[in-house]
Amino acid sequence: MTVLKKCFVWYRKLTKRLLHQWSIVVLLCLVPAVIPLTNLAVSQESGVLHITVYSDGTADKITNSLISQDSIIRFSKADSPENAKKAVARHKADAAWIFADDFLKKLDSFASGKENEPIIEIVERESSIPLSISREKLFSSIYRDYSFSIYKNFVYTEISDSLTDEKLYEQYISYGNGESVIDVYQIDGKVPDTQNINYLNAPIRGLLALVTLLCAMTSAMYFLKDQQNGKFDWMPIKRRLPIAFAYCLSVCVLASAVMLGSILISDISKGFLAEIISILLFALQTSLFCTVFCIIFRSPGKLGAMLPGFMIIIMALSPIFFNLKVLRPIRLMLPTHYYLYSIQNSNYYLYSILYCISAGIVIAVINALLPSRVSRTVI
Amino acid sequence: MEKKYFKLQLKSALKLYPTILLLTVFIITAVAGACAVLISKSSSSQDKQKIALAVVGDLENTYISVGLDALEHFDSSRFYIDIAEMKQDEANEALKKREISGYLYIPDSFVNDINSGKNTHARYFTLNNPTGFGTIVSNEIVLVASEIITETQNGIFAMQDVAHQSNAKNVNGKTDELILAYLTALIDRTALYQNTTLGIADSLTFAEYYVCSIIILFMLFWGVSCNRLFSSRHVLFSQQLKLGGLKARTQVMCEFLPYLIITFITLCAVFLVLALTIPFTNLDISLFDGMNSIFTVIKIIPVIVMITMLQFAVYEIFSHTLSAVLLQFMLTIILGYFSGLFYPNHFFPEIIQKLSVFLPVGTAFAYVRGVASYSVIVWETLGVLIYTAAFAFIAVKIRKYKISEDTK
Repeated sequence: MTVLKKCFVWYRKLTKRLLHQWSIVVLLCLVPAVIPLTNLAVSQESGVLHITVYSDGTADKITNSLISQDSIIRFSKADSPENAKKAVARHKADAAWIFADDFLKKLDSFASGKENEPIIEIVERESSIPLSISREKLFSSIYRDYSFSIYKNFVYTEISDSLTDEKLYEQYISYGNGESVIDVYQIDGKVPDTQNINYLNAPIRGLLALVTLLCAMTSAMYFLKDQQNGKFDWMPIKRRLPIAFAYCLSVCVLASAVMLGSILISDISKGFLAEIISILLFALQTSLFCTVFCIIFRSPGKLGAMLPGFMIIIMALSPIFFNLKVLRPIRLMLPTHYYLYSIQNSNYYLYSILYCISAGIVIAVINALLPSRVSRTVI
Repeated sequence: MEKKYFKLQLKSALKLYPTILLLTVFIITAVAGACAVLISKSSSSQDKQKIALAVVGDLENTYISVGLDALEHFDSSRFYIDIAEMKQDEANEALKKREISGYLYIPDSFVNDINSGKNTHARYFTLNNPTGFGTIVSNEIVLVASEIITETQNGIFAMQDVAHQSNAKNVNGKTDELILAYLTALIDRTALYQNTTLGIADSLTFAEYYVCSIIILFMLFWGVSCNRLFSSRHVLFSQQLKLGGLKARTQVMCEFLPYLIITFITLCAVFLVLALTIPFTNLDISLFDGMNSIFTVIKIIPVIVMITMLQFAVYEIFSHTLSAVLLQFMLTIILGYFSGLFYPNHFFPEIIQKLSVFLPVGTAFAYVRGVASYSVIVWETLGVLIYTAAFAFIAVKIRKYKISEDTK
């Protein structure tokens, strides 16, 4: 109990100064305040592509089914082929799909081989991989009618022409139970929660981790400043590294609490227990990471000056917006790398622990090698 | 007095400039390195953008092997999907390392079961937190494939039923014929469309869009590097200047102008370096095409003024340098995210797209994009001017407040 009380007193002492700065409190509150905005972004209709579709009455069923689908492509209806093309030309849409008039009849003729002319006009702004993929979506949207036409024409030509279209259609749909023949699973065997999958809120976790890292760096700068001002002159150098670690950890815990709260109110939470384990490990890793920075940079000015560059490198190399597969040795040094992967792969919990042990050994070795004389600028 | 103070500030800014420049070189290297990888990933080779998938399980069946062969060699999807045959362990490992977006597990006798109407399902495995573009897209492709298989199955079974009811001969032969008809239709599916590419006349390519984003990001991070310019300011000094007859407005202007000048010089240098190096790369970015780079930097002067003024106001609001640096970072990340600096803004819902235009970073970004695409940018210019005036007003008001507080 006394130990806990002592820890709490120390924790208060270490965070008091930071929390006395109203600007830091405002910044920490700013983070969860932005989450509802991202939730709003996710709840609205969005897509990596916007495709406008025109059809006369005959293909309305296809158009409506495209619009109502839950997809990363956002579909909208155009009231005329000209307006659909204009939308693409004016950068309002990435592509326009224009179904020929009397579409289903023409599709039937196409399936029977009577018609060879294209029956869908696709207008695109530029050729790209996502647009090529979107055409597969287009094909799947017309495939039910196309498949029926292929079967119908085959029956009429190869088996019997005495049956009606209605009878053949009844036969055709009698097999469709609406079940997918391919089941989608996550690598851990669970069924993915498609409701919560959205590329828009995907970087939130990474950005929150960056904020925590930034706060820990700030704390490291405070430690260096205090050391420069001679606050630890009474203390042997070898005992200062644990203090540096305590500085970073105290702020990390605070920022991690904000981070946890933000994740829990957002749509990206993977469950309280999983989140808390990941965040605790991340806080520990980040504190150790920043302690190493306290050793490398002896003055707060130098660390502060290099901070923007470091943050950009960390942002680029961590899988936040893009998953770049370059500079692996540097990526392995970043706590964000382990944290962001631990959400997908529980093996990374173990890697995080190994990271902490390795960082601890590195710090201990450096600590042992440090001279024992008292210095203001050198740890 | 005004001139003297301005000269003093300029001198002080130029004295600190080498250090700031050194830091900026570090930042530029970091940003450029990240962006070079990103842009080359997007524009240099289509292979790098392909969605990588794997197939595991029973691949010995004739239909499966023919299908895989078709997908690899002559189906139109080969231009954007890479399919590799693997063992399940290998595929699991590749998925964990994110070398593939997912893999399809085909159980034993899957095709025979489908042929005989048994309800056997293939399984597609994806990442635990499928949020990446490739993963989400591959999930959609799987749904498309599933739909095509189901509908084809319906057609084949319905034909077999009709054939049996009509006492047709050689139903197996007819089934093969129909499967062939379906396969032909599937491979010839591109014949259904007539494709027209309009080109990018008045809009930007992916690489150009991100170059505009990098320009804004650079300016935002530049403000962080310049913290040393503002860290030595003290209210007492401002008060003394006031007593010496220098009003808050004049003080702000005399301190802001040197900052603007060194920002402008740095941007000119950055654009010059880019104009000299980009022709040697395979990137086609008209912004840096010879003389265009000089015109671009002149055209974006309003944005340079606006962003430097925003940063000046931040340093004025937060007298503690560390807080100011933290806020600049947060602003860059939060405003940058919603303004489309990280994800293209058309990825966002319309409401966010509309809102982003009213954010300071969003307005500045829209202006730079307008300049890059040679569009009319009346509203964007107006927005940039309004924001500049607002930030200048805030900076002056805060300086006034600080001086008056100290006098009390």
